[in-house]
Amino acid sequence: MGVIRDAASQATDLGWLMGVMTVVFLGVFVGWAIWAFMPSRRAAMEAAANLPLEGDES
Amino acid sequence: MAENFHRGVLEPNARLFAVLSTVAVTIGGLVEIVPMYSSAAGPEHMDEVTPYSPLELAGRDIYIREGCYNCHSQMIRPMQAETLRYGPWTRAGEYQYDHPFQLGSRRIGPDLQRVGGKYPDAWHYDHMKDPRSTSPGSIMPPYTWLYDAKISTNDVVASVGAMTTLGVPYEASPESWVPASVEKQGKEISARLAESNRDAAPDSEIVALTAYLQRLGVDGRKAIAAGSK
Amino acid sequence: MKTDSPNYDDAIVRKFAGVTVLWAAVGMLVGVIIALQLAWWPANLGLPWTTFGRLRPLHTNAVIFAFAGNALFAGIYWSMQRLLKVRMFNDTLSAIHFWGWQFIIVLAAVTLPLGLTAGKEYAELIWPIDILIALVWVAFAVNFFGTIAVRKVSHLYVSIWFYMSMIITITMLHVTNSLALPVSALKAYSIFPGMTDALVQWWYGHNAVGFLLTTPFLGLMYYFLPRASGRPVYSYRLSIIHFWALVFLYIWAGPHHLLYSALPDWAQTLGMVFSVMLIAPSWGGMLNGLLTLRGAWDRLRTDPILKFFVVGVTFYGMSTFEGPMMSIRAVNSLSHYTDWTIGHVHSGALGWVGMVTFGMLYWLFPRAWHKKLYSEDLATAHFWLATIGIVLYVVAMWVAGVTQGLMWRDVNADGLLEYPNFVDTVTRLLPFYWIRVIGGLMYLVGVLIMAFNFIKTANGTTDANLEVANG
Repeated sequence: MGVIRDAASQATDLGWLMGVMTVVFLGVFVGWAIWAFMPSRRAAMEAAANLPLEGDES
Repeated sequence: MAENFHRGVLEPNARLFAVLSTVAVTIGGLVEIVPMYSSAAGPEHMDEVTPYSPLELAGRDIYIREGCYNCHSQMIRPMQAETLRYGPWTRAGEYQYDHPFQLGSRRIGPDLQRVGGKYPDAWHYDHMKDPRSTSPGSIMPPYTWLYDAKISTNDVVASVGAMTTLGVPYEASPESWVPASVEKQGKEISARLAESNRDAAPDSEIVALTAYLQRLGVDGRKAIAAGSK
Repeated sequence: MKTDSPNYDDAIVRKFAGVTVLWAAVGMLVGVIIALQLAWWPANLGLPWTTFGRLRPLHTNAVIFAFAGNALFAGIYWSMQRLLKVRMFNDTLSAIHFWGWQFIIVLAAVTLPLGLTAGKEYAELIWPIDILIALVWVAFAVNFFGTIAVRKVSHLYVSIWFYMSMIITITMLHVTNSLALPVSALKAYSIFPGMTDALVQWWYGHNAVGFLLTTPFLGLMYYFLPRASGRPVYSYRLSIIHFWALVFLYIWAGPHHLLYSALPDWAQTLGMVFSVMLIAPSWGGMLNGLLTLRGAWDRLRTDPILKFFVVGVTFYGMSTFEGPMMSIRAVNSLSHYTDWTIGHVHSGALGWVGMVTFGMLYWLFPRAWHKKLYSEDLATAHFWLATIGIVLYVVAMWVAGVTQGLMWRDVNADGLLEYPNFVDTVTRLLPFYWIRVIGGLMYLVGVLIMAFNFIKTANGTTDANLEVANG
């Protein structure tokens, strides 16, 4: 357990890392939202949305 | 018709998708749980808090078996109304030897964190047999079977051994000292009950449960009185 | 007479759907019994096996893992075969999943009243059953990912994403939280000490709600609501954005169950902040569900299936607003330890999980059995009983919770407790406990009506025509 304890103690000193990660996650989210809402994806999105309505027979 | 029609960048690659969602759901747990094992960020150790005696541990097993945590918490919050009612608020170190934890989430009955020493043994004896005899209006069911059922010393030895494996600092080779310890503490409680005309065998479940309840919060209370933060 | 498409395994759907109704009745009956025990203690019957402390875990496990679990599996097996246009990967794995899961439920129903418990809320089952759960879950996961591997539609519809997040996360939660050192064949001690055990448990407990009762049910909503209404989801883009936000944020929120506890402050703050942020993706899902019905609101008057869905999604919105609010320290200081929490989980369980499940089942049963639903009127009666029952339940618990919370904290001018005798704060609640019994009973009667309706449907002779079959 000692090794984990030491590693954990060090990890919690890394406040700056938390800040960086917050920015990274925000960036990923915004990028993902932009990707999803790109006008060029409209047709693909609508096709995907209609998947459940294509009937039960394959 | 649908084949090879619906294409995207990310989602056709199911493997990548599974990896990314695993990452997304893992981060939060890691960030919150790992530091609990760090001396700087995790719960503080309390030297004054010592392991349960073997009989108390047996009583704790009964507490868990009966699902007491469904109605009773063991967690006093740092608020005036709580400390007035129950005593000093709970420190994390008071739980350091609890496997599993028994904080509870609902107070259908009162908090039990510091019930130890609050009432005489006879009170618990009466209360578990007929809750309304000590607490008029209580909605707690009676636990009459605890008076005939016996604890098994072999089970207690095994429990102490398991706790030792989990890091609870008991003396080594439990089989050498646990039976005597169980017998001694059981007889003490049984004798105290006999003085007030209540009859319970030293190895009955009610005696073990009483031992556990009378221990709750006692170490913490002492430590806090001695100036522990 | 119409029969199953040879391309899909619908027998497994019928099995899961059937036991869903059975376990709903059992789990909710136990719920009504324990509600009665709180209102009138002699209902504990003076027997070890029937006391509240032992039956309450039976109720929670039955409703969460038996009722909601089987409902999910029924919906997943039906929808994923159709969304991927392929039969389930392996019928034997499907059978192992079904029979294994029912066996686990029966073991739970035997062990919990016997007092065999791990002693951790919502994770009470003893270690041999925990191992069995892991094995059956792996069979399900292999079947699930195998089906994805052999799929005939390239795009994974958003419902599949939600299902996948459940399979991955529940595996992680169950295995971690169940880590324990066996003492005997029936008993084990959690390997985590005290406060850490509490944190691990609520990381598990909160996310069992998140990844068993929320995300996969959103997956069901994204499939069955478009099917039932004949309309595609309002915004597919919104659905994929709120998916990632939801699964990422949800996992952090567990410590809100431990506010003001001895848990280190930094962990409490993380739990609170992430809980509040959860409103955004949660409401994204709710709005997406409700707006799917744009232009179809008139059908709400006549179609009991849409009624169930709309009330279910609305309760989802309500409880995902209430939850973050209760995660704010100031509110939590009042609500914690009271019946407010019980009301909150039931607006989620009865309101969201229950109503969405009923909507799905009323749509699914006629199609899976190729029979016309026996009675739409009975379905509508079920809807009203369930809705009024939930409202009675939730309002009673809300009033009881706030009342008791205020009584506990009431300190008079002399700095003394206004209600020093705890029992006084309990007896005040008894009228509300009786209202809860009535509300719960109405909900249970609704389920029994549904069971009757389905039995008549399955035994009926009226073939569903193609119009019904293709919905």
